[in-house]
Amino acid sequence: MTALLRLRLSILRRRYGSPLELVVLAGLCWVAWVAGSAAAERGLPPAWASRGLSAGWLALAGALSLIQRRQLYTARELDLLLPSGVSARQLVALRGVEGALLALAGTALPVACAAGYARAQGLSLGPAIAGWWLLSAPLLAALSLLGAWALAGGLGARAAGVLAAAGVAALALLGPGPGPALGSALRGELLGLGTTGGAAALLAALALLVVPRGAAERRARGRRVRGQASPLLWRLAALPSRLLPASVGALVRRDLVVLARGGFPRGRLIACLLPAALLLLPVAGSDESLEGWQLSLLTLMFVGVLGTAAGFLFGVDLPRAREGWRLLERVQPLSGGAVLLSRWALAATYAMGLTAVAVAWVAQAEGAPPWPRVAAGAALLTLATTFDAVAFGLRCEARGSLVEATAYPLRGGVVAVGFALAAQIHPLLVGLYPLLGFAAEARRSAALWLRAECTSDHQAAA
Amino acid sequence: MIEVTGLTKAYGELQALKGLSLTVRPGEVFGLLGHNGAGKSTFAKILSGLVLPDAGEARVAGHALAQDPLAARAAFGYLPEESVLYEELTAWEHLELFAQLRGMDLTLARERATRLFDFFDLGDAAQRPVAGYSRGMRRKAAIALAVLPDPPALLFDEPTGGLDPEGARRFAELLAELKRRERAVIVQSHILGLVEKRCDRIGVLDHGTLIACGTLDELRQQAQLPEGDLEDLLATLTGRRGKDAREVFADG
Repeated sequence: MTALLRLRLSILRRRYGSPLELVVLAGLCWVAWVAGSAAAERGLPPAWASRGLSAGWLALAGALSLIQRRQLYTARELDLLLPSGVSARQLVALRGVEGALLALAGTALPVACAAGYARAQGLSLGPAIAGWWLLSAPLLAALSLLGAWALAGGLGARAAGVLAAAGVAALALLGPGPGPALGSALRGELLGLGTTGGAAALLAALALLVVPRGAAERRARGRRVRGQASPLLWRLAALPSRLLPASVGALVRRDLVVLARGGFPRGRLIACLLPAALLLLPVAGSDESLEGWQLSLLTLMFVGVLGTAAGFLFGVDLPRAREGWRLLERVQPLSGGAVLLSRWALAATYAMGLTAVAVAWVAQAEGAPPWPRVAAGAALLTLATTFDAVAFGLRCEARGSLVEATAYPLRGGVVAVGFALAAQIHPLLVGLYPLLGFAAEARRSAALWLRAECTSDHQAAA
Repeated sequence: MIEVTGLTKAYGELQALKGLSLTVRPGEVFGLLGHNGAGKSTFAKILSGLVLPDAGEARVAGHALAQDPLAARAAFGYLPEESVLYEELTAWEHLELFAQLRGMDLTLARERATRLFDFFDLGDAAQRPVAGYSRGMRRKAAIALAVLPDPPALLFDEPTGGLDPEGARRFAELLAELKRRERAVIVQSHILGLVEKRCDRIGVLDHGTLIACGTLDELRQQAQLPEGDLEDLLATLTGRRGKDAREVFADG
């Protein structure tokens, strides 16, 4: 069991423990911290904050249950593990440890949010929050094992969704759960931590007792032949791609369908969370002493940073997560420029949606400058920042340099702030972007990509 | 036509290919044999543009890979050793995607894809996501992807891995049709029966060097085994004879 655990942990470390993942997690934690601080500054009552935390925590338990269902009943590695003499109970214990590690990463966001909130409320952070974080992870892991067991036992996805929604609503409305436990821990009461730890131990024991039951039947049920994929999505995805050159459109269509059908789940999660950052814009702009030009600059800064994040997501993170499949596009007569354009099209379209919301906010803000001027600058800035991230990602991919890709947030920050200032002076100044050597750099990256060696372990994709 | 001259590739200390030269003419099916680590996969990756040679030149249908990689890739169909496919897409969607990437007429591509799926008995499975496919079904879909654009040159790396006997027979028929259509085809396989029956010429690669090349009779002459089958020829030419399995458990 120890050897098995060590093996699995080394696999997980190689798969998810790269600097890129850590950068993404750190960035998200920072956003969560800022959101927590902003919520406290806007006077969100502690009771509602703790209910929100409980609801978020339960949603995380739901997501982990879906992951654990796959890990317990349908993962391919089970073909290797089970014939090697791993018992059903050992498998549950192994998945429990893995789940706890995943939960530690997952709960880092609500913990950062709660820490930001608590700090703004003047509470000391100390060991209470770390204790809650460490104790709630095994609790989540145990709960998700039981959730996976229930889901695989024939509980339909719709029924599971209704149950989960009811649970979230109950926690949000009634108030018990992990949020109040953390709140009491922050106030120095040990009861909250004790309750969390006790619940974790109890549920872990229950999971070890219950989940191994009927594992073989559940595995057999989980491996039923998949049904036909709906052709509607494939056809719908063809519509936006018709605006692009054929090969670029084909790549965009592929990425849209792969994302919609569950490929790159982390990316989907980030893409869903990123718009929440826009909630900070009214908070930051609520200072009544801000003048029109300051509101405009604030909006442009937001747009620049969000454009950088979107470019990083579609231009660096997505290609890296799907590195094992790169062979498929590399053996086609595809230029680096087509690949760059396809990624840029996705990132820029997504970021333009966020930009539109930001501009809509500034348009109605009191004392703001004329919105068409801000909109022009913001649109050009979005195009520049997304392009920069995508071109940078292509270059890193061609060089096979993950470390370099990890450093992008530093460069992206400089580009975003620099061109936001330029856009503030005059929107057309962002048009200098291609003239400052960036376009030539992108051309070189595209040429490099075409001739780069593709020696990634494509067997991992199979 | 596939032409390679003086192809050399090293991974650090390991010399994967040492000056490999080879020509496969249109209408010829060439079998490339060799033990594990002989350099076959490196050769395949160089031809498909995935790996760059340290020295030497490769041309596909007259296009030099180094100078005109896009034209060379357009003229080349490649079946990798592992059937790498997007798990979330169906086989049908794969074929449409790659037809678009290759600039094919979509109507023609759909008609050909229908016939290919019929030929390989993929039927309804073609409308299901690849994630639910067996290994054999993945292989059939990957073969269909390689031949869909009907390129003048193709390389199949372990094509029958995972295929059932009927699937393997259909693949052999497909090879015969490609030959009839004057395509230059390279087959890398450890299934010696397929190579013996379907290949016009056979090359033996050992430690990155082509140590023998010719028809089956020419290989027999070279190995001085007039009645030898391909297994004997391969063992003789590479100097690797089988070992006694009883030695594995010699400790009792």
